[in-house]
Amino acid sequence: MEHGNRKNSHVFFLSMSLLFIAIFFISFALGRYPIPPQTVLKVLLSKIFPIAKTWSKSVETVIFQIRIPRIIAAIFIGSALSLSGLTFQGLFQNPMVSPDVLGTSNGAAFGAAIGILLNMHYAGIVTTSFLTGIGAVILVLAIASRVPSMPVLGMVLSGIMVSSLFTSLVSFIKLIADTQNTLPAITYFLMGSLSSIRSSDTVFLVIIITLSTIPIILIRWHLNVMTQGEEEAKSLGVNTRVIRLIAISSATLMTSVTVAVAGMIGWVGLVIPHLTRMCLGCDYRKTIPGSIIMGSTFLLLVDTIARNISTIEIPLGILTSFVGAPFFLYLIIREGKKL
Amino acid sequence: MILEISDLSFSYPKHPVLQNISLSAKGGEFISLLGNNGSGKTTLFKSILGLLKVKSGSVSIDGENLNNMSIKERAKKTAYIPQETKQVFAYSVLSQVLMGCTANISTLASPGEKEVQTALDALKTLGIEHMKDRNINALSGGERQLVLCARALAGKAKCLLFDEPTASLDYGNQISVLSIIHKLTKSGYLAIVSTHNVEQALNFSTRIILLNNKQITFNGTPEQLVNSDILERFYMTPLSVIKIDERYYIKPESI
Repeated sequence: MEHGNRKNSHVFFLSMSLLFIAIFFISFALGRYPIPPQTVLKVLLSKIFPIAKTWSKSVETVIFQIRIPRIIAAIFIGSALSLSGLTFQGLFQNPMVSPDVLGTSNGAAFGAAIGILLNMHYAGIVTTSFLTGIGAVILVLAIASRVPSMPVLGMVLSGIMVSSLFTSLVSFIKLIADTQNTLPAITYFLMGSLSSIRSSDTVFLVIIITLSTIPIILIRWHLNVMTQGEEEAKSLGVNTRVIRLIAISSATLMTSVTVAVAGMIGWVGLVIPHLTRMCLGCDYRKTIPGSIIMGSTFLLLVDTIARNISTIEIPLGILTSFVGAPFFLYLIIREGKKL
Repeated sequence: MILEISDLSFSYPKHPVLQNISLSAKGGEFISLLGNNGSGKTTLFKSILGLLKVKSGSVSIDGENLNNMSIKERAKKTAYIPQETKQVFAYSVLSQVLMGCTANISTLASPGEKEVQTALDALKTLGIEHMKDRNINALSGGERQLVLCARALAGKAKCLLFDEPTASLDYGNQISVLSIIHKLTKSGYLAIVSTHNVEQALNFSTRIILLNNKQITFNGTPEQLVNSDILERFYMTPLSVIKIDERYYIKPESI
């Protein structure tokens, strides 16, 4: 991993911002109701400036009721998954972990499935998925701590084990779910999709993700020191227990809310932090904004592809796996050489 | 600066590691800590750093008991210099050294101009300021050890604990690291250096402490150690120490 200098990081943020804007307008232009960029700009600006209406009512409905909630959801989910991966990797000094590898996503999915089964409202679903998500992380850490001789792989392997445990639990919920309504809801939601997103989902998502991102931004420097390992960080004056608590609960909360709203969208939390570090170096003061913008651009792109690639919509989770699984293999081979 | 350890004991469940350790040291001393693997050197360091809750006894610096201090306060008093290794996340040298300033900033803050200056000063003290933008993993082992040393200096603690700083270094780098530690003690720092290298301990330190069987079995100058039969008994091998031009050389008699 090369250390990015100041000029590199300017180039990175400038080009990512341009890419983000481009994909933002492209995502409006493509789809079942394509809207050209200039119309999008006019409609958006008309909310602030008095601009004569040259578009139909349905265009406005598509933009504000369908596209914008979905685009904002993709942006925030991409950002949340990347940021939680970035946080976990530094915290555990393990470049191979992410919310999915650590079992957080599967744990949260189990909680969300319980929530759907019990007909809970959002807040309920997010709470149950947060609790089971954090339960999964604690379980993985407890198991990994029993194999101190191989900290990196021990954590990955126990994560895989805990994930499969929660996958079985989800299967059990599916088994007892009502086949008419609840079962299809759970099944579709698990595949990870933004197709049924509504404005109220997006508002909820935005609030929770923003609230859980702020603490991570605030402890950015201490996250750097945490990468030196528990004891060194302590000897450097970091209250490791407090930082770990803030980091794990924030990262788990933002993962859980994405799972509760959009289902399982894997691998983003593994791939994006790596790409960000390749461009910017390891410093959390740069990688936090870096992975927020890269993660949101990536998921917006993937969601645009998911909407347009075929006549039926492809669940996001499937597409992200196409990118993530080979990347994980690449990491296993690269990191394996170092172990 | 005075470090005072009195009647310190520590044990893991069913496994005592340190028993009634008492030790007094002051700024300017270069103390080598000898002892076999598992003799409690690391545990002693961790107790001084407050990473372990000691069972009984106390560690104090300038009369202030470290047990009663917060993690941040303690980090301002003592600094730990680990053995260099390649890092999972490779920071720049400057960022690595800035981490030493963490105890001096609040939990929600990032280092500012003042801390950057402190870090640059620490690099300058060790003569490695030209490396500031380099990736830590691209350095040699000896250079990395110096960076970790600069990180400790940036924290402004006066009591420096070195964990086998020369163990993985080639001869040239060993000497450069030891000379830096020597220079630091001359300017008032207290350095406690754990090592397995007896010759190095005899030639560089002002005092040697031998940890054996959970206790301090020797605490004195290199000369006192050479004039006793403690080394032979401790390492259980016949040896003699030769002095040429004010330097000690160990000659194993069994070969």
